[in-house]
Amino acid sequence: MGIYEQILQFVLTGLTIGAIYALVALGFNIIHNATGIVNFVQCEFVTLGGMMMYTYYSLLGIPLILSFFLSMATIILLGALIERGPIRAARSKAIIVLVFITIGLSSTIRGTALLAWGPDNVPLPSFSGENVIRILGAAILPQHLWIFGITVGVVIFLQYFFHRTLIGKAMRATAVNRKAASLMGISVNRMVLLSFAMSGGIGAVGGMIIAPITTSSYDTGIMLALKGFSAAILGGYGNNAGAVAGGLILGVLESLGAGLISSKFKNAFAFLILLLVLFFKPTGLLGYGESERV
Amino acid sequence: MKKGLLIILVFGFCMFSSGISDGAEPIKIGAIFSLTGPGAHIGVAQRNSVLIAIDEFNKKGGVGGRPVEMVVGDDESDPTKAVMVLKKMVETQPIVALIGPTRTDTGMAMIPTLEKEGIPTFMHAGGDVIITPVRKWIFKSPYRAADAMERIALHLKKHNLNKVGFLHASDGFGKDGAAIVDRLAAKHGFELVAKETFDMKDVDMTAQLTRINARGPQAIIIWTIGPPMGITTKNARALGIKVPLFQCHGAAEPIFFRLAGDAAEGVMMPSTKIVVADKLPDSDVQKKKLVDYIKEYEARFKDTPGTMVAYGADAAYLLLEAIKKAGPDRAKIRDGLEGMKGYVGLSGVYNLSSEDHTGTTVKDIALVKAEKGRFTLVE
Repeated sequence: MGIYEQILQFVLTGLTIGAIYALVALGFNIIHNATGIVNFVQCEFVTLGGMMMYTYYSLLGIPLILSFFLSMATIILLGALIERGPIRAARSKAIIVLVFITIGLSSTIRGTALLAWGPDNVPLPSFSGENVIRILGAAILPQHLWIFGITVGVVIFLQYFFHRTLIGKAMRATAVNRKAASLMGISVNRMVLLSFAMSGGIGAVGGMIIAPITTSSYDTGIMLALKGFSAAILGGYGNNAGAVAGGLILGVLESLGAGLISSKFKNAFAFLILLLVLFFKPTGLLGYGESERV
Repeated sequence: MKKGLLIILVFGFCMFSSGISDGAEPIKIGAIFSLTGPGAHIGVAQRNSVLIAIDEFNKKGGVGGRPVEMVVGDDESDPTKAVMVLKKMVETQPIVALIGPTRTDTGMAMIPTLEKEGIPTFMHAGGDVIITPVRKWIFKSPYRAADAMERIALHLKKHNLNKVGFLHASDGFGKDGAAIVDRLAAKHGFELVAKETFDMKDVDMTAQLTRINARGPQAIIIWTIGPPMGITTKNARALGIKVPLFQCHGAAEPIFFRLAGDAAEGVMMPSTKIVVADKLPDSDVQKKKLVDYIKEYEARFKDTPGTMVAYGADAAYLLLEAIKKAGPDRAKIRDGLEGMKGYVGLSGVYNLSSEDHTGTTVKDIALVKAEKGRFTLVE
């Protein structure tokens, strides 16, 4: 394997893992834009996506495609329930209170998942076989194509949704100014509900498409959510194009860092880049900063 | 939440084992396992293996009529939690000895407390740092990592595979292996073409394997436990790496097939004979013991025992034997352990002494290969 094939391999692998980071980052963004909070339950959305799919497919014997959409629907419902329940019922709507509610929910769900599924990692089958595909000397699995394809699909859908549909525009309006949006007849509560449901769905998709490669367990979401959060910050928190760019950049840098420099610093390398970006451009790569959002 | 779960577990197992006692006050031994986290697949199997050993011991009369009771704690595969669980246990329960923990990291974290309190401890951890230098109160039942890797090195030598790539986790066990492989490369004269590392929570090791593969190794040794066993194996096969793959002496577990899927085919690893018991010659001194034990384990837990069960059970049997002879006295139990000679266990024949707190040799280790969802004996 020559150095160019190696670099291609690092980039391709980085892009697929980065795509997952991007999905998680998008989930963080959507809720942030609607409510201004960091939603810690995002980890659990990712975890539960994989575990629900395992439940539907392996335990209940439902066909793969149907299991995929069923688990997505389940997590969308869970996202909506979380908003309808603890988030809306909270007496104080202070951001710090809501954030702590999500932290509490996150541990509760993780603990419940541990009791329900046990501590072992469970496998999921690849969506279309495990025959290696060769691209200019680099090797990837069909699952990598799925990951990349589905992520692109989700990004295109979100782009369309937020810019071409009335309800998407209403969500953006809510993100820009809640009060003004509500004066224009937009139901802010409904937008917040929708944002939780969408974040749940996107997180679940991330968890489901990576599970065939990494297997899934009650706590798989933690590391992915941490990286996804970094990706969101790197791209500019709240900015969807930034989330995608941040995720892909983080994934590729990690992979290149581990492959070309040293695997000892794989994780450190990605976070170092994050620190540098924040140092020179505190709003993230594509962020506008608070001052412009008045 | 997790603390609540722990309390439920402890209560559960107290009730579980107290059913056996007939009024005589039980002798308590502590048991700390990784029941959750990346070491969970091992910790749970080890807890099961110890349960069987203790029940068997109590049925035979215990220590002069007094049953032994296990107090279970979960360290969540986390060194900090391990120390907390241990300290709480030491302060609240009159334990005479300790079994576990599961991982090298958690074990190392617990050693200062155990040595200070003077608690005879039989660990399940794989890494050699646990027993090098020999510590007064600490024993371990899994093979020395150096012996396990020596087993692989002998195979490499026999098949003339001289260029080796090494991939290891960045935790205590992985680092322990990384130090050992350097020594063995010098000893057996093979060339270490690449040495790479990954984090236990990483989800992809393709970059590291690509780097190793580019140096043209004739074999790759992967030193980790838990989910990374599966991910590394899958990644290697996805990259089209055809050279023999070796995993560590903790990999011969049923879960390996679930984690690695089809990629598991052909992967070799040092292991106890428990996974190939039915293929052993009748002349093997361990065969009968292994076959009986497997039958009991399968009947009780509806699961196939892997290599970790053998380590777990041996730690319990050796410790119980020492408690039976010495009674509930920590110092006497410790001295008794050092006097154990020629004990035929599930993992091998244990000869413990004041210089050797593991007691097995490279001769006890089988090299097995994953084939069609089962393990077969290589040599």
